[in-house]
Amino acid sequence: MKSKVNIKTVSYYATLGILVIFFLMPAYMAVVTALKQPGDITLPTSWDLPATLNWASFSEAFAMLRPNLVNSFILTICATAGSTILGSLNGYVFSKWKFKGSEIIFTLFLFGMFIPYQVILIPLFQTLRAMNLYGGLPGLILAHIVYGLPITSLIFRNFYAQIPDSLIESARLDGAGFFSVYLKLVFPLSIPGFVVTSLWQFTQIWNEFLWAITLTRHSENPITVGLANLAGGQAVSWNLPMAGSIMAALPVLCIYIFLGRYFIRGLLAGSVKE
Amino acid sequence: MAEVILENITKSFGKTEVVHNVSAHFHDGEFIVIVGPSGCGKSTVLRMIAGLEEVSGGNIKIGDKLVNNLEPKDRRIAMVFQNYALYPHMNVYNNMAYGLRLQKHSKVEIERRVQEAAQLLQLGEYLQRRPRQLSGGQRQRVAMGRALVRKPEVFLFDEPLSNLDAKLRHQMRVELKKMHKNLGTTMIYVTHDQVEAMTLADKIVVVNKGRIEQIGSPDEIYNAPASMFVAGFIGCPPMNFLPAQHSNGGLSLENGFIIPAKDLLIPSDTRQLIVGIRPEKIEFSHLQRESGWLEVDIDFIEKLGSGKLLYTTIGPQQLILSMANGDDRHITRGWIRFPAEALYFFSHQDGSLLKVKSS
Repeated sequence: MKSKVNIKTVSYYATLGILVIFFLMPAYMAVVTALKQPGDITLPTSWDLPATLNWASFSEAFAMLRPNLVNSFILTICATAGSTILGSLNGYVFSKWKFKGSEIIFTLFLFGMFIPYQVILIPLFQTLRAMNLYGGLPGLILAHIVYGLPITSLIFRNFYAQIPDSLIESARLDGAGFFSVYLKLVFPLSIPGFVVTSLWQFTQIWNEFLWAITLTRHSENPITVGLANLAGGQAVSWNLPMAGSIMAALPVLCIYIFLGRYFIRGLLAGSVKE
Repeated sequence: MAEVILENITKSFGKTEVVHNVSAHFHDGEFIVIVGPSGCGKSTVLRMIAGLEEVSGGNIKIGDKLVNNLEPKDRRIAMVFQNYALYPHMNVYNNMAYGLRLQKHSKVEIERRVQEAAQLLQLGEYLQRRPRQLSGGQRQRVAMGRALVRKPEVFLFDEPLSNLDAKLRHQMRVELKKMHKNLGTTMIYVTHDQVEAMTLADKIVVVNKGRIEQIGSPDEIYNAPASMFVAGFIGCPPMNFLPAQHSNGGLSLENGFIIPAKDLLIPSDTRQLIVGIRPEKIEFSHLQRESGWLEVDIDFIEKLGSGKLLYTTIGPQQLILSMANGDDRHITRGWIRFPAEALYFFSHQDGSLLKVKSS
């Protein structure tokens, strides 16, 4: 009996171990390559550890990608804040101030979630051009805010569905109106919802590439496009794009390391009754 | 303080009408209990008075003001919810003070009112706590306190005690009654619990399927129920109902037993009817009796401490007798009698009370 369990456990861990190695292979490649001298990087030795550690790759890559990183931070922070706050207001209305037809509008919102963003690329490009927003960050920010609304509205609506209606009614009896109920009651109670939604949005927008390369001119390119530029061309020093990738992944990685538990907690919030 | 007048109010959700033509006049300072089974529309009526639901038809007046189109906050009412609806992120003090702040009362006034309510409800030492740090009974008090500090003209209660355990419920019931006596404010209280209705009310409104079945004092409702529904709903254990045939000289039950009812003037065209009798009004004897007494088997006995309930059957009908303690012999059979003066007669068709004159 006991040995049976052991074989089972061993095989589980062996499978998991193999999978972990698979998943970490690209990360290993990135770190190893980033730390090599440009001259040492060849295909046959690509799996080898670096002979000497070349930390300069990071400072060099940072110098080149700095404008892109700044653009990415502006883009991601603005678009995340915008789509989260608007999504929260939407969710508040869809769950607590239902009006005639609100369910239909909500369903239409949900459709928006299922539209692949590649499909709307060309109309989006034309729309932004017509609005005179093509090429710059504001246009891309607007696009991400609008595209993010379905998912943020959905998360907040479900989150607010757990707040008892009588709480809102109680506040209305106390004399609170639409916005004071939101500011004094609903907002403070939905901080976990804000954490989940903004983490989600931050990750999505930070990592997005296609819209970024299509809708912004060179000086306004976010980090994903900057990285691609670094890796493009004829003779690429591979240590630089690798170092750049690691730097580009850091913000999202840090967020999950430090806020991940809130993410899980937020996703599970309300699934168990207190 | 104010009276509340409902004039033919109706409420529909979509095409379904859930409250039909409800009219009532609640006087200033009365403790009104609206009672009925769940889903009967009693809470909807209360919510319409509060302004949380729009009326589909009819008028609601509080004081001499028509409030149909007034916002809840402008109706000079306060409401206590079943789940208390306390603001979870505010401490007890702020829970009570929030509404006053919105009404732009001065800081001093808010402090005075909250302290006053806290003292009345013995919440003084809990003012800095959050709702989740309080027991059910304490939360209930905070909910009351939040209503109290507003100094409303009408208090509305939506099943405020149903989340408490039996003992606490009794205690809060007594305190609520005391509070009403001290304040003298009109209170409208919704419950499905007929005990709360009987003990708290000056006036009971019995609601069934969106209609008022009867309005009256607890005594009136208990002693002169207008219908089988009211008779069955108010009183614990409920009134017994026995289908009977009316013929000259008596009422024959389904098992053939005839209740002598010579001196009762039941309309002669009434053949079929329902006889009602309260469990405590049935006479019981261990000893064999003669005419007018019916021999029954006692199926089982429920001991209540202060008395006991005897269960028996007449034909297919269950019959409950309520008795004082005393004789502790194991009873398996006995003789029962239905005193004519304790009988109620209901229409076989619609359950309404048949007017009977005793000659």
